[in-house]
Amino acid sequence: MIWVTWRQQRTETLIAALLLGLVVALLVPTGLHIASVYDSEGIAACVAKPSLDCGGQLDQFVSRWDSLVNAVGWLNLVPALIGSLVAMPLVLEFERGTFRLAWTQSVTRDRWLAIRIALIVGTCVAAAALLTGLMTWWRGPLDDVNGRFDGFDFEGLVPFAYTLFAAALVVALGVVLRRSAAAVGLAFVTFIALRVGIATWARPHYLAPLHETSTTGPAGLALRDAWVFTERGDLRTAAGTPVDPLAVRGCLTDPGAKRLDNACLDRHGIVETLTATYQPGSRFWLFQAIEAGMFAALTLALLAFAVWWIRKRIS
Amino acid sequence: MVSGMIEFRLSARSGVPTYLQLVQQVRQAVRLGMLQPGDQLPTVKTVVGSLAINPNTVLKAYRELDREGLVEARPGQGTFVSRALPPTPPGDYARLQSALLDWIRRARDAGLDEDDVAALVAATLQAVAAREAA
Amino acid sequence: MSAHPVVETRGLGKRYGSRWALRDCSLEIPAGSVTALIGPNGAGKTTLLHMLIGLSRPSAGEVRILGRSPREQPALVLPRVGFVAQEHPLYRSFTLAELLEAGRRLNPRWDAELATSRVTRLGIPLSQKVGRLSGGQQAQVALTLALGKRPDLLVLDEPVASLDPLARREFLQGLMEAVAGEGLTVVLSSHIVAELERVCDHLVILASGGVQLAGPIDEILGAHRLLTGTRRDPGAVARIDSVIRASHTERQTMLLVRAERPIADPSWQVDEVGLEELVLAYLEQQAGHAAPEVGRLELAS
Repeated sequence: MIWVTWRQQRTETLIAALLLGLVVALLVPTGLHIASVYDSEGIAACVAKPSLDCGGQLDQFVSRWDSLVNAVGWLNLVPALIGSLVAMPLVLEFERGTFRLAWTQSVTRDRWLAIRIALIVGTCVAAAALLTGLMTWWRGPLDDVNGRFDGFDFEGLVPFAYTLFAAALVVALGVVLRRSAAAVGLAFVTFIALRVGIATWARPHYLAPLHETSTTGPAGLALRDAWVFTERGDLRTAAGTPVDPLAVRGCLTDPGAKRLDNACLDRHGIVETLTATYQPGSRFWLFQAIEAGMFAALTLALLAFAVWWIRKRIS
Repeated sequence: MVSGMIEFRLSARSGVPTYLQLVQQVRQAVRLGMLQPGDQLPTVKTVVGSLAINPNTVLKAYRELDREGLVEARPGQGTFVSRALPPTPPGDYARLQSALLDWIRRARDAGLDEDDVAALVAATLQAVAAREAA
Repeated sequence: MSAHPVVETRGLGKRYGSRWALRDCSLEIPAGSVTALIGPNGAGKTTLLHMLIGLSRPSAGEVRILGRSPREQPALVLPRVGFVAQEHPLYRSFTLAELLEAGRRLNPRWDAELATSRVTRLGIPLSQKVGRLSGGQQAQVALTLALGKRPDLLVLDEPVASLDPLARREFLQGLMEAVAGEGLTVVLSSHIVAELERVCDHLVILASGGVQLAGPIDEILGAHRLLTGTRRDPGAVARIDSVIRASHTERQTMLLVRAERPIADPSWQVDEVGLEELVLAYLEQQAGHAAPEVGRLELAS
């Protein structure tokens, strides 16, 4: 049965392999380049001992790759693409009615279903392993500087969960709709909506975020290995009470500017404080487990539903 | 020994049951000398493969021929013609035909038309066959 | 050949929501027979066939194939039953050779030589993609897949419905050869009666979700007669079991009746009934919800 299943998904497997090949072709040269710049500019040493000058260098290093990182952001769709390609052949069996052929050979329907789902899961895991390994390596230098949270979507456990979730979504929609195109389309929309929604509104709150305040300006916040979501600047007196910004109009470097002269502020006993809300890098794996767990639970629910539907409604 | 010496042809509209058509065609083939004693009849598989009919129909026909003694079934080998059917001597044939003509004239005089005559002949043949089978 | 029926159903029924698609089906199909399942579209033929092979779960009653329940013991039933679904679904992107290989891998009792020689004899190229074959060739391939596992029972759902006359003839030729060679039991459904008469020796008429008539064709034809005579009330005819269809003109009455004993009444012209006419009469009866009781011939064989 394994041979038959592989032969059935020959086209989808080739497309998936092509897709992964493109990803490799994109990431390997660029990753090597990032790594070499990291080495040649001695960033590693800077990371080990942060100092003011070095901070600027680190920021420069990271922002140098901004556009590349943005482009790589599109790879967030890859788990959905892989999941769809892996799940599609199963949906096609129901769309084309060949399940009636498959279920009347000598393999029982339950065994057939178990093997098909196992193959889908196995393929998703393998593809996700390749992607995760590659992306973790690619982001190595960036993660060293700013911590792993920036690459949360691509590292650790969640890529496995995303890929499995996409596949399960296509399977569940496919067995109900019995139309592979509609199932994949709907699955994509749902996948994107859920991923964006959870990353934006749920992820920051898996654990109550921490706050840190510094009176010596941004550099005082040694928040490198962290996921910082808000930074709020405040003007306070030495005693800690808030100061009306209008009151220090006189300290503007020039009337139209938004910058304040530090020396002037010092004379007035006013300090600029910065409060950051963040998740520390030490929570990376915990957050990974939580989010992967959520998507894994959804995956299980979708697969259980699909199996139930097949057993109750299609037969 | 060559099988498939004769080919069967079925007429869907003749009103004669399929197996009887096969029986008649074998008899005709033997009478005309196309099948000689010792020749093998086409296998059931061959016949159904060309006519697309139920194998039981062929078996029924061959059983009927076996019953008449025209063929014999040899287990594991097939069904073979066991005797010849001599053609009717021309003299007998002419005599029978003239007797038939007389009878037809009498039937016509009695008021029977062509269809009545044919129906009467068919019914009588059937009755004879039924009595012989009993 | 075993004396036990290959297929046995008792009170078999299938319900979708509140609607019964099939109700109270009790049948016995003997070994070695070729049974025609005849009925109009929507009568429940596909539903019944799917329950026979375990593709569908009965809502009521039970079914036994070769003595076993296809839902409870599929691992034992499936290898012995060959099935060709409506529209003969196949993996169309496979080449014929690959499809036969799939048959080999999915069926422990696969006879590769039988399958390959069959398609070769039919002139279907092994290297051709299945999707590119003609309708008739695809039907033959589907039949080959079903025959390749050397089943004891073959179930076909409208196997020749979409085929042209030549392809239809070739399909039935191949099917009959397989029956002659392997001693197969066959159940095939159709909504066209004419071509089945030569091929089938048993009959099941399905209409309005129920079995209207079932039995060996010879016996059924022997038990029905067409009576023609002067205009009269059908109730007044002696020695018949039931009237299937009655039609009257001003002067004449024609009755299609079921009668186990010969009708000796000389005021009737008694004729045999053709299979197609008989089936139509039973179907008309269902369609018109006519009064005469339906003869539920349970088949003895």
